[in-house]
Amino acid sequence: MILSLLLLLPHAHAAPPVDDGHAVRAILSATPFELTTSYPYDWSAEHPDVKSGTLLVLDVDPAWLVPSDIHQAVLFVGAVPAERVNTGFPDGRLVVIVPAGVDVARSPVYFSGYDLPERIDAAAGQKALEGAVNRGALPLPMTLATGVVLRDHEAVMKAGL
Amino acid sequence: MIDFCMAFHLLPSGCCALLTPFLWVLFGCHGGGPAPDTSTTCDGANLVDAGGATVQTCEDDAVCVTGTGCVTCTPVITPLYATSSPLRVEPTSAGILRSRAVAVSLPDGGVGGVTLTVEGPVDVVDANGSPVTSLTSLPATVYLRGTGTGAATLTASFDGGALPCAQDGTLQIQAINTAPLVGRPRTLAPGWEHVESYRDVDPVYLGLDPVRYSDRVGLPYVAYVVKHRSAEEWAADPQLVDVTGGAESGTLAAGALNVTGLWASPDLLEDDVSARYDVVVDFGGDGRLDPGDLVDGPGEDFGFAQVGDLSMAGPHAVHQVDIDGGAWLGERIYWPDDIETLGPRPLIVISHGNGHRYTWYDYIGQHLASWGYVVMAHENNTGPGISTASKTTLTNTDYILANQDTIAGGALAGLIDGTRIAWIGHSRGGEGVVRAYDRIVDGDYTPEEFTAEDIRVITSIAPTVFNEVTDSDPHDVPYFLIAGTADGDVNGGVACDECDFYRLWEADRGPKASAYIHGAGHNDFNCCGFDDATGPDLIGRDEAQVLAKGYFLAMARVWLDGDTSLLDVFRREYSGFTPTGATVGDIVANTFRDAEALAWPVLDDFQAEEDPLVASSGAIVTAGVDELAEGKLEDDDSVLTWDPSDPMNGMTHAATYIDRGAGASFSWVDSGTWSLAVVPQQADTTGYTFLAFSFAQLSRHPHTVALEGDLAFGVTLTDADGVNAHVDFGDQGAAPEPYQRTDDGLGAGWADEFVTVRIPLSDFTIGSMIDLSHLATVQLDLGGDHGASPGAIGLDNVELSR
Repeated sequence: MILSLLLLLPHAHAAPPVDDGHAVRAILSATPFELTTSYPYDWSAEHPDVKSGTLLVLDVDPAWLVPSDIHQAVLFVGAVPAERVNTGFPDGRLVVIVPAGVDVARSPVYFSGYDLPERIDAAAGQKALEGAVNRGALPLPMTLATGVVLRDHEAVMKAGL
Repeated sequence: MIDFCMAFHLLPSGCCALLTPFLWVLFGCHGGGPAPDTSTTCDGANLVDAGGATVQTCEDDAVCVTGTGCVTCTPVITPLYATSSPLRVEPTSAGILRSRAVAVSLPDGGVGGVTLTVEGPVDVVDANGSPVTSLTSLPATVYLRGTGTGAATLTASFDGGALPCAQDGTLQIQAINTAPLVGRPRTLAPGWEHVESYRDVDPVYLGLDPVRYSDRVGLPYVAYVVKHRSAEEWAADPQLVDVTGGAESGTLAAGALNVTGLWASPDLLEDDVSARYDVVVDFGGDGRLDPGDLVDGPGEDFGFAQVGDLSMAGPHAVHQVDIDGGAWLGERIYWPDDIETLGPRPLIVISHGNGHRYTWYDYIGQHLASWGYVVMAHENNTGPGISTASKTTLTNTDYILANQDTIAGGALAGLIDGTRIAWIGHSRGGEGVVRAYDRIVDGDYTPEEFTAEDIRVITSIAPTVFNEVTDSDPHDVPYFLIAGTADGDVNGGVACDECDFYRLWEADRGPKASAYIHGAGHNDFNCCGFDDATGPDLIGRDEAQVLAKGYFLAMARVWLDGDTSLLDVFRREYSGFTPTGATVGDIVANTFRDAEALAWPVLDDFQAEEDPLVASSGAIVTAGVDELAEGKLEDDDSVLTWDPSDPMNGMTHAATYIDRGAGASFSWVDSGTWSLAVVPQQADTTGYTFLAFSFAQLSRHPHTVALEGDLAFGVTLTDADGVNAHVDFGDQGAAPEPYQRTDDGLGAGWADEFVTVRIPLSDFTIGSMIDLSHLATVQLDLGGDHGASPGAIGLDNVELSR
């Protein structure tokens, strides 16, 4: 299986793949959380403070999750890059944090082009969302679990793992 | 002390002369004449009485003195003769009079009163190194030692006192650059290469040039290899203790370079990977280091170093723990078990790449800790990007330094030297460590436990270059880049600007080195990333890590411990200094450049002038080559298929207008030349040790494809009088055939693989009387009798260095 996945590793010169709406296959779980201690969100250019959000477990086509330092497509939920807690490779189980302010139930979950999340501002996020919608990306079915209160960033990451 | 007095010769005048290998000094041995007679006067050489009759005629060296008569002046110091003119004097190591000083003995001439003056870069000193400007009594011995390079004149003056005996004697001196004595025979011209470092399996040779040391031809000597001593140690103990099992005796013969095996099987490393030695050629035969002996090494420098297998584990058992300091503060720490006996040791921090883990670098942690370093690998927040990665490098470095009293029960309390830190980063972490340094220097981040000055060296393993190099700016920190040509992620190729890691190398202004390893993949530099290696002749993770461990240990020893005996690991071309532990057949392209702040003369770095026929130094370039072009070292069309309109095909040292890398490219079919007319202000090269330049084969150029192998050429230097000297460096190092990786266009061949060639300037003086103080041209002799053809290369950084 690994070998076949590696064959999907994009070459450096290849154009970023296009997510046609099928890269993220399902939301396996969605758990709202609140934090006792907030933390700065490093996965967008604005670095907003995260006091609450949603912890998602996604079922993702592993070909999109091959670890790379160059060719890592940014995963968006709506117009916001999601914070990856694990690599999700090779099993396709990707855990992400979505900061509050994103309506998870009504937002598509999709990959955009290769970039660094820390460079993506709100305008770039909105542009990515519009592109995804134009390609047919739709919100995925999901059920919100009971919310949890956690201590801090480290706690929510460990909860995800 | 060696006394160069060999014999006294009676001269017809009645004076005697002292014959030394270097000079004769004539002194009168008797004065006097008839008793004073106030009734006589002098008429030229004749003493005449009141009536004008000649009483006496003064002959030979005698002069007529009114009221005295004929007097032979004492001493007679005109002229000073040297058997070798000019007398060659070398610089003396600071604080060591005994090193390379030349003794001049002035015999008993009956009276004293000699004044000594020198014009030029030479000192006259006594046995204690104190300046000597006059001699009040004879006999006396003084010492000449170089303080620089160039012509000098020693004048010995005697004012004659009350007699008309004032006279000057002069001695012409040439203060010359120190030349190393050890090296190795080569098959190519000039048949010899001076080297500073040997592998522990290679024999050590002495090379004495009878042209350089013409004043010693015919003299016997005994050559010793001794353990390196400081200036103070030599001053305290000049006894020569040979470590090779027997000093080598010989006599300097005229003709070609005298090559003598000094040490067939060096094996004295003991629990270390390097050892330093001095070489003394004892011309006095007394078993002591004296003025007049030839020496290589005493003082701050060493004669030569012996380098062992840098990939072998060191002598210390290693302790390892994992700690969790909170979010992004997970660390794995390695240290030598006996660190308490070692005292505070430098800290080496490892910042992993994206999708990697901090627990994947045991091979580095275990290896460097076994050699006495504290190593810490940490969780690295690479997912968001480079700034977050840089922050975790900074916070984790702070964390271990701040918490050393409590980590592992206090085992490291007070034992981490926070003023000697190395950062090693892989991939995004490799750029992150550069960004972290840049943030400190630019004032964007202030660590609590250390400063930018405490970061002694940064190493990037296949780093990304997401930021412009003004944001990921290594400034002037010592910088080492290591990567693999088979990298399947940060692949170094022309189609991916973020993969062009040599842009970081170009941005650094400090001393910098690189090693580009054929057949190594991205994750060969950790334990557990997937096998991304792409291309032919893959060397695999184990071999890549053998090579990497050697480089990392050398990096730590050089820049954390100041052990320059391992600098040659970076400065010499891999094929000319292959690590002992490496597999035969490994191919690595090494580059090295000294800090720009040293301001070594740059003959042409192609930065300041776009005209390929005008060097950045202003020198005129004459090129008998094809396809000559100059510009940014950037593949213009991002495709490796050869296209004559893209003369920088395969180049990756620049990608945006901010990048600094620039160079030239050209080709030849059978032979060619690239010649630079040295500008006058750079013509005196005697203060420098190497002629250096970097070059790479042009990837997928038809000539490169046709050559299908390594490429080297020759270099001819010409002085202002037209005297030539030539070196073919092909067996010292060569640019490898480009890695035969496909993709990114038609054909095979990957990104540029620059190598730096540093030819000792002293190699050009072997058998040649070239005057390196008046260098006129530097010419690259391409193809023909001097190297491969056809060929196509990129060229950069033609310069002098020490």
